Amino acid sequence: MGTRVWSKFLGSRNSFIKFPEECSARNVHEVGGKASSLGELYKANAPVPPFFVVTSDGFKEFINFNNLHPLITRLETVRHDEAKMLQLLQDIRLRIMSADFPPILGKEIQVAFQKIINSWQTVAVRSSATLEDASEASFAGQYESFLGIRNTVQLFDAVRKCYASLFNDRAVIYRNRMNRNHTDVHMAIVVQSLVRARSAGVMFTVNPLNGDPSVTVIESSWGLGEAVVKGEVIPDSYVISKVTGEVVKSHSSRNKPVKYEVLHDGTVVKVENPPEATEVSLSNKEAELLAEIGNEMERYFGAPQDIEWVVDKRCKHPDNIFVVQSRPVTVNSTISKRSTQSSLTLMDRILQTLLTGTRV
Amino acid sequence: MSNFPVLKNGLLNLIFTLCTVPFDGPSAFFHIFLMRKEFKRGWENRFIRCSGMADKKFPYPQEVETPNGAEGWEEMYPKFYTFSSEAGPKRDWESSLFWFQDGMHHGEPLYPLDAIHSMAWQWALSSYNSRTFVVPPALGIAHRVLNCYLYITPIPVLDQKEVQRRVEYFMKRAGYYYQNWNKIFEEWKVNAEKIVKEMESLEFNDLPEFEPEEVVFKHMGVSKSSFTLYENYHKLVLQHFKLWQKHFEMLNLGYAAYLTFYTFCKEKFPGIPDQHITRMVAGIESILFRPDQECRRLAKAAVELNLSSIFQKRLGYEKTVEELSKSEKGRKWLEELEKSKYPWFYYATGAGFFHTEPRWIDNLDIPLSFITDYVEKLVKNENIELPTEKLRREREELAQKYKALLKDPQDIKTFEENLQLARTVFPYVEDHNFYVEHWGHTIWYRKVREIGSLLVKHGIIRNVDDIFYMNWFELSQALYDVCANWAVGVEPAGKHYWPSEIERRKKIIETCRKNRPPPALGKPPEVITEPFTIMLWGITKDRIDQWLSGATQKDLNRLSGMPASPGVAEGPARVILSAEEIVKVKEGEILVAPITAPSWNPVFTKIKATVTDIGGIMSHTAIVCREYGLPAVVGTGFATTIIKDGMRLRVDGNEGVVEILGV
Repeated sequence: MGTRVWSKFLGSRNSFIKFPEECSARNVHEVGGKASSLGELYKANAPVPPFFVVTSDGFKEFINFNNLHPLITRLETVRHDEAKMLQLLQDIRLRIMSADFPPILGKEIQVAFQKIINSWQTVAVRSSATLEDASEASFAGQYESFLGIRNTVQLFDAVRKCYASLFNDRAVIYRNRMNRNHTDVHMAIVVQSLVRARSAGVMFTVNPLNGDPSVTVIESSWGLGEAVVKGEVIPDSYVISKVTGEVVKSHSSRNKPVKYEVLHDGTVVKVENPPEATEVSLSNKEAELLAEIGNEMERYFGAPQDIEWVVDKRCKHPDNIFVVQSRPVTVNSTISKRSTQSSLTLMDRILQTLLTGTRV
Repeated sequence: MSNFPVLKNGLLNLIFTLCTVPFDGPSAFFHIFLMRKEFKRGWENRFIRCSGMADKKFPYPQEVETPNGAEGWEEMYPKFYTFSSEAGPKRDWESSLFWFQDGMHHGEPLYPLDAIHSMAWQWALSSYNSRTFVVPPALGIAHRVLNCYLYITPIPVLDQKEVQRRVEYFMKRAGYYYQNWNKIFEEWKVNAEKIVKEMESLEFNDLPEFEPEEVVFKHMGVSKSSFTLYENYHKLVLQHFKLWQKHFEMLNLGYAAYLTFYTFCKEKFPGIPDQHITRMVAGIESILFRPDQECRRLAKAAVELNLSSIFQKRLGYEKTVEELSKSEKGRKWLEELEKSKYPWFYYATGAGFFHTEPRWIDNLDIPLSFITDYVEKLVKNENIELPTEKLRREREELAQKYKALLKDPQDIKTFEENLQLARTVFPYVEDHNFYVEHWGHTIWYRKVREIGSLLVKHGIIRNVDDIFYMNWFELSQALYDVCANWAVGVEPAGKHYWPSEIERRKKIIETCRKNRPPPALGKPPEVITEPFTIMLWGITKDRIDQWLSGATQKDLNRLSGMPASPGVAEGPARVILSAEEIVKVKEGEILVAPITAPSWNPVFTKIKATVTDIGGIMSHTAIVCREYGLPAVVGTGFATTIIKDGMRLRVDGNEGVVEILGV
């Protein structure tokens, strides 16, 4: 897939930029949680939209170059004076927003960006905070994320905004409450091509309703995955046998009245009653390929996965399918329990079948 | 359907059931059961609960009107075999049950003599369940005829104590069969063949003017000619019944073993398609495929002997043989043909229950047309070999992959044991029909027609096939009449009433053929859990609802059924109501039929998709379509009444939907 070729081409060491194959759980301190999980997806052979990471060292370089350290250190001293603290935070953010990028860092970002933007036109910039514990991970969403970045001016601006978001009021209050040192917190940035979502949805590599490990279940609708995730549509659904890789059951919904789209400027809009509302949003072929990808991810991670995916509008099958996120599923179900048949002799099983019958 | 409750004690059913699969004969017996609440004898619903569709029901038997012109239909069948029209305990009992029309095997009006087959299976299936293997929760399947159509219903054991008491018998008896399965099956084949050959050896000779001298000089002590005629008829009937006993000797147990594996798979893999379960178990080389294989073999021989052009003229059997006998190579091919005929062309074109279905051996145009189709493929360099190696490999892979999804070592062991037993029993499940419905019935019909010619000579009937308008008890009387009055030295009395009676009966049957009765009788169940019902007959709650609505809406342009084989296809419809019409099917058409039969297999290489009225995902249609990679929708209930020849259809085998796109 394009991703791979592209990142090989740019392969780099000892720079402020990391590529997918250089991101993993092991260097989460360097690339942040978001990028390390994207890197794991990449290792699982999932088609991740092309991305690069501006590492936390890049952030440090940015801070040092602009001599922002003293200001940040001062945060510790105003911990208990809220008015002073808020004023200081505003100063820090203003300084960040007007700061220059160190020439080497700026150049590296620009080169990496150029490679993506040529074929993708638009990228998203997301903060990938280098947080070490789970409680802070849940805070990650408080940092910024910018869609619709089309040129370097917008890009640098977005990166600055991400950096500044590390010092937004709520983030700092949160760290104070957690008793964390503000100078210990760094931020990596993920710059990722923005898939032009034709359709999107979720996929479970196990049936989440009953724990059936022999099937993959996919739900799909038009546009971004929000429509499915927020439950605003009745999605098209597919059940794919992991054993044969074929769709064994599918349901085409005639009721997909909502569609989310990203406009050129990066704003997300909700379209009511799009013309394609009653059309099928995913072909069987696409569903089967998705399931294959899901199986591979399940094998790599060693557990059933809950995956968010997108089908790109302009790429051609089979290169149009992308995985944007994956997390393990924990299904509590009776399936994992030993079958009642297994404690019986063969004859008793037959008798039991005759006496109790089958749910069909 | 996950909200269907599992009914305790429910099912048992299965085993009534039994039957069928891919190809079976009466097999399949569904099972639904429900009892009307108002019925006063303490019946309770065992298989199915009813309530929901309280306002909707099928007519009770006594509410179904006799079509104009079919009055007196019930006189063609024994009284025990028809519904009571008079109030009383028999009618109350009949009205308390949910009956289905057995369209799977008896989808046409029952000719009185052909009803011997359903009587034979009622007796055989039921006795193995209830009295031989003592299946704990199941008795037999009751039969009744209404307006010439057969309805059936399974009878459960209701008393829990009684069920428990039966367990001990069942374990001992069924256990013995499972343990000795292969050995018993080997014996079975020998014995079944023996019965068929005994039927074949029976002679039906005309009565001479005087008894031969040996009656005197060997002091035989009987009227040899007439006694032998009368005796052989009864021997024929008894051998027929006996063959049907063989049919069910191992079938119910075979099904129970299969179902145990099925249940385990559904428990561990709730989303496993039924067809995957069948594919893990099914044999690759069932003898039911053998007649088709013989056609392939003969086609290859024809091409190798450079005879293709003769076949491609499609001259029909007689003329083709005439052409072939002119050359050395042609005669060589005819020798090959002879090798295939017995017994592989003793093959029914339908399920085997109607004398009107052509049989290959009596209509050699049928296999010849299939052979010619294969010849044409070979000439075009197409491969006609069945990919048996590939199928075998796929079957093994499928099983290995499912096994690999299991984590618990005990479960893995259960899977292996259940699969092994299911595979052990399956050859029987697949092969037994050949001996009974195909080979055995072909002999039966031949012998019956020999008797028919005799009756024609004695003036009892006008045409040989008129004999099928007498039931087997009446035929015994007619033969007595012939024999005894031959002895008396006068004409048989039947000469003066049978011919007109038969004319009347013909009209009744034709009237009933045009007036299909409701698919079911009585109050429908709210919930169906019984798997055979669903798998084999395609009878589910959705189906019943559809039947109920379809009954009033004949102008539908969208039919739903069970998605039995995946894929989507469009094409013109070809509606085939009986086996003899099968030759009308053309390349690229969509076959629409009440149900299909194994002998139609060659036609599946021509068509694009199949739609049936009856059947579930284990039905013959479903299995064959999956094998040939054709979309199939089964169990639509009404396809053959709504769809007409030439309509453009879109068949969606993934969704189970058939759309009429245009006329």
